[in-house]
Amino acid sequence: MMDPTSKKTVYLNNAATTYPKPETVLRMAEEALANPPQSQYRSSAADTLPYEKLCRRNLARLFGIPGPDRIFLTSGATQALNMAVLGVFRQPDRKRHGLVITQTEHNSVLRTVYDGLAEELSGGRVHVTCVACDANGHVDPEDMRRAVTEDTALVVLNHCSNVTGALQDARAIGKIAHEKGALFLLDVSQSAGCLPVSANELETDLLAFTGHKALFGMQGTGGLYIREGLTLRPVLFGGTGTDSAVLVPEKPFYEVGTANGPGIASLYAGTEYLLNLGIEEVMRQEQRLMKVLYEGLKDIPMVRVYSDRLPEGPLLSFRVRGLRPSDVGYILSGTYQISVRTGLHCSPLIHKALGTEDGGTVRVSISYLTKETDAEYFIGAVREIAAGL
Amino acid sequence: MKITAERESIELCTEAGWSAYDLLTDEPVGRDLIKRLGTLGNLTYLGMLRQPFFRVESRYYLIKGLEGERQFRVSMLNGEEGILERVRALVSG
Repeated sequence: MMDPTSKKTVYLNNAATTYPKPETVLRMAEEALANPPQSQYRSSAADTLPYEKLCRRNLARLFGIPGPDRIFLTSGATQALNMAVLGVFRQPDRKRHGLVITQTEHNSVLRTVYDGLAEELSGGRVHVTCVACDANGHVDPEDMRRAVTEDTALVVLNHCSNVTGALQDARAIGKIAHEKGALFLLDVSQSAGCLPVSANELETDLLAFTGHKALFGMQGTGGLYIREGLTLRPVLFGGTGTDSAVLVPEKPFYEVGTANGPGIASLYAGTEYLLNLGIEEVMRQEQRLMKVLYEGLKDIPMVRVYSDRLPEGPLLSFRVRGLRPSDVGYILSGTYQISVRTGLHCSPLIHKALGTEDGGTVRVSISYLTKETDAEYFIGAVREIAAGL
Repeated sequence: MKITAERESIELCTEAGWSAYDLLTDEPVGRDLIKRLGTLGNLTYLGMLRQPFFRVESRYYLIKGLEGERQFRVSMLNGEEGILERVRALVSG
């Protein structure tokens, strides 16, 4: 096992934020900050920022979206998910009351539903059904079929679990939503940039993504795709650079305030990097590394991995018998300079399915730029910890 | 031994609902200090690890660290910050 004499951190917390970023991302962000801002206009204006235009075009290519102007840039997936969920249920002419979510959702959905819609829930204007997942984090589409009714307005699905790496059958679930006339919102925070995501093929009406994970942009970037013809009630209001004399615009604006220029430039560079690589190449490399992690951990007797098969996504959860997950994280960080994430990972409900409500799990996550030697070093560290118990 | 700094931990999410501080010391944490801290609760000492790990726990607080490091962590339920004073006394003690 490599000895970490250099004290350089081995970063295996890419499901939180990817690190390192490609060189081109660093250069593009620096360039955007070093030069005068190019324009104040947004996607709806004729003269958009070149970075914004290029970024939207790249995102549309990555997500199989025909119209880049239906991608609205946000501060991240949390804002996008708030826009989608609140935007559907705060429509004044809404006829349906049902909202179907899954046990795998992140707090960016759960808190938006249970706190953001608290008044609607207590007033009986929204009914939530939460569909369970299995011990790997997979949701059975047949369970979704039973949960979605003629009264369901919106079905929300976390595409790839940020706890187990399980990938859902989004196409089947989107189809079920549409058969009942419901809208389908897919949260691709953990799959965008590392797994195939096609808005049309996956039957999505709304697609929420973050820019700072596998898309390699900066923190503070992300977006929401809204299908052509679909209108949401905005959750934010403000300046748009257009129609400034109109206080109540006829058509909604989904991007208000000053755009995150450097962030968008970085996201453009990140998506450009991925388009040049190809998602197939990203998947191939990440699956190879995940196999090293999964099989390496499975081989350690004191370790339990929370998936009975190689996860589809670039992350997995585990525990070491006799140690709390937070203790494992502390030892990995202090003795081995390995950065992982421990706890509930902001997804509290899935832990009931995993049996990890008490303390959560240790999550290890990679990106395309993670080195195989880092994965091997990590396995060696966990093996050494387990042997020392 | 002296505490040179107290930093609020950036790992608050891992100890949900708790506050956490990293206490920095002017000397490496040794077995004597670990034993003294152990009087504050149930002590777990894993001496076979590359760097021995210790944890002292009670219902209201948790102390943990690695032998040989110049820091250790004290986590506590909100409202139980008084434990920090007892820890400071044991360190200087």
